[in-house]
Amino acid sequence: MDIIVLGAEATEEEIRHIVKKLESRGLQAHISKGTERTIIGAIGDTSKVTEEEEDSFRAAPGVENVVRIVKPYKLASREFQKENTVITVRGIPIGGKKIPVMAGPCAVENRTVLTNIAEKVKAAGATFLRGGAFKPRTSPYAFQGLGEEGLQYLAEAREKTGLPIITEIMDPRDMDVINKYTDIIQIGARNMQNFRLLLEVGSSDKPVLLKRGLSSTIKEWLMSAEYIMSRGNHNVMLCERGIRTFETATRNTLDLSAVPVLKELTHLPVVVDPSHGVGKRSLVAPMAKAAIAAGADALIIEVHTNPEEAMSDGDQSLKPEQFAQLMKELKSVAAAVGREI
Amino acid sequence: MTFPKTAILGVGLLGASFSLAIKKKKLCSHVTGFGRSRENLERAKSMGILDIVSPDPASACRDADLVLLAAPAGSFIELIKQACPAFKKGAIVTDVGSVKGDLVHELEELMPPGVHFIGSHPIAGSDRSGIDSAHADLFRDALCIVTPTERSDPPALKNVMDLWASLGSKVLAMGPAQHDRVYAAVSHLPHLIAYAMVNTVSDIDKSYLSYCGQGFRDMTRIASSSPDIWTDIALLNRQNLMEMIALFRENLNRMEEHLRTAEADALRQEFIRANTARGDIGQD
Repeated sequence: MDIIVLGAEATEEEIRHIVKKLESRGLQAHISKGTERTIIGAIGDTSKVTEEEEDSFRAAPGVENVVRIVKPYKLASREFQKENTVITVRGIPIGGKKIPVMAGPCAVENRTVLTNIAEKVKAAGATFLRGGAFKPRTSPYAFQGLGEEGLQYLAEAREKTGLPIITEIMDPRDMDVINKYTDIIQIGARNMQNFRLLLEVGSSDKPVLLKRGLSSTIKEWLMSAEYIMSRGNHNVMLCERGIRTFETATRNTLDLSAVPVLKELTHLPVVVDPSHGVGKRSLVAPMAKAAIAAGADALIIEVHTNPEEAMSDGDQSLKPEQFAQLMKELKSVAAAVGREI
Repeated sequence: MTFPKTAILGVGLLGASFSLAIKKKKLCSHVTGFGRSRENLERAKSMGILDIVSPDPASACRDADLVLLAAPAGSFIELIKQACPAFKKGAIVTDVGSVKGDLVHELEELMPPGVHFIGSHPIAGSDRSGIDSAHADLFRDALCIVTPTERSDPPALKNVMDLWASLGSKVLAMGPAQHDRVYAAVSHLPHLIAYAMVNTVSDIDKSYLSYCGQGFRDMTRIASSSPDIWTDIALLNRQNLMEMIALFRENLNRMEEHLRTAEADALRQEFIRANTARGDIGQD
């Protein structure tokens, strides 16, 4: 907590009250009065001011806002870089005016199915192909992915369609093989705080899509991005994919408020995954539209030609025709918020 | 990101190379310098490294946009104490020291309001020291570690990272404590061993040194490094360094044991382990 902003109507008494409050915590106050508002800078070691104390300043009379300059993440912060980061992957910018859509199956199952899906999502306007080769499954007995074979199929599909690919890494030992094929490395929600893995992708030159942990705060999420960036890889995008709440009607609760929050806190591109966020096919399209309205820079959506037969997450995958319809509808939402699909 | 006036405290190999590098990149219009030896500073001026020779740290730093600490790390605190009354608001202070740890926190503490310290460690030292070895490309393709803390100012951090990147360095960020542990292992321990190795052979018989081949030269090149600089580094990173020495001793003990028992396989395994691990760091 470093700057306290008071409105134009703040009285001398209210200002004195804030100054006293700061001094009682061993801090000095630097007051600068403008015509619009009065700004009080807190000078001293403000890193010891707790969040509760910060709230008590926020609640004081006359206070409009309290801005904390000291954030635990540095490279990821908006203060570090004012302009939005735009990551360009095979000529496609992520984080600019145009919103790329990444689509594909949850898991790569076989060559024919993947190629078929890739061609269909490409025709509908998707710009990236997603697909898991190494799958983090809740059950050790569920399908675990095809491994390198799956990566080869993804690369073949890229060859055929021109769509760059994104796939998940689960183990630092797979780094070399994944690097060989993928265009974007995905860190899944369950690995968001796997710090070894974060450092490993940090020394890669491939862009990283970092999914939010199931029960992670935005601050923890940004700290994970900081781990990757500290190793020199600044091409990190953050992907909201739903968090754990008490609600059971959806698989997770898609925290779309995270999108504008991140836009304030960080310069990194923000991606939304409505498929995992809701876990239910009928809810994917509305939340995809809401994500764009909220300011998302990209979407990642699961599409399968035969969801009933899908080996993983079939119930949240869109059918190609549903995806094509959604892509059409997204255009007008994007236009309404000054973006393009 | 430009620093019209840059002050360099400590004008040796790194300080002088830094000055040449930022001048070459046109990131600054003039450089002031302060150091222990007036003669060295005057010479630096005649060589075009400095524009102004300052009589004390404070006058070097007055109105400076960027202050670089490039003296032996043991003198940083004293230099900053003398210089800081002259710092202008918005100035950025950084350094080239090989030890970070508590020093970074102490330096942060000394900064007046509005002045930001960000620790830097360009991995670009040399067994040579002094301004005669300085050159504008010293930092090109070198690694540079910056050591932000919880309190670091993000825009200042960005400026410092951009600065090193524009000099051609690959810039990575690391916490100060982690930095010291890493560099105790990969730099400070090897320097100590190099010094000890030369002393060992010279204790056995000084004349033996004249028979040495490339292997000995490779291993002990860094034993020619500046004793002043390395005394400061070793003492400032004493705790980590002692731990690394203990670990090194364990490795030596194990090899000694294999020699005693004449276990060729075990010895070979140690060598293979090192071959493999060294393969990962790439070519020299």
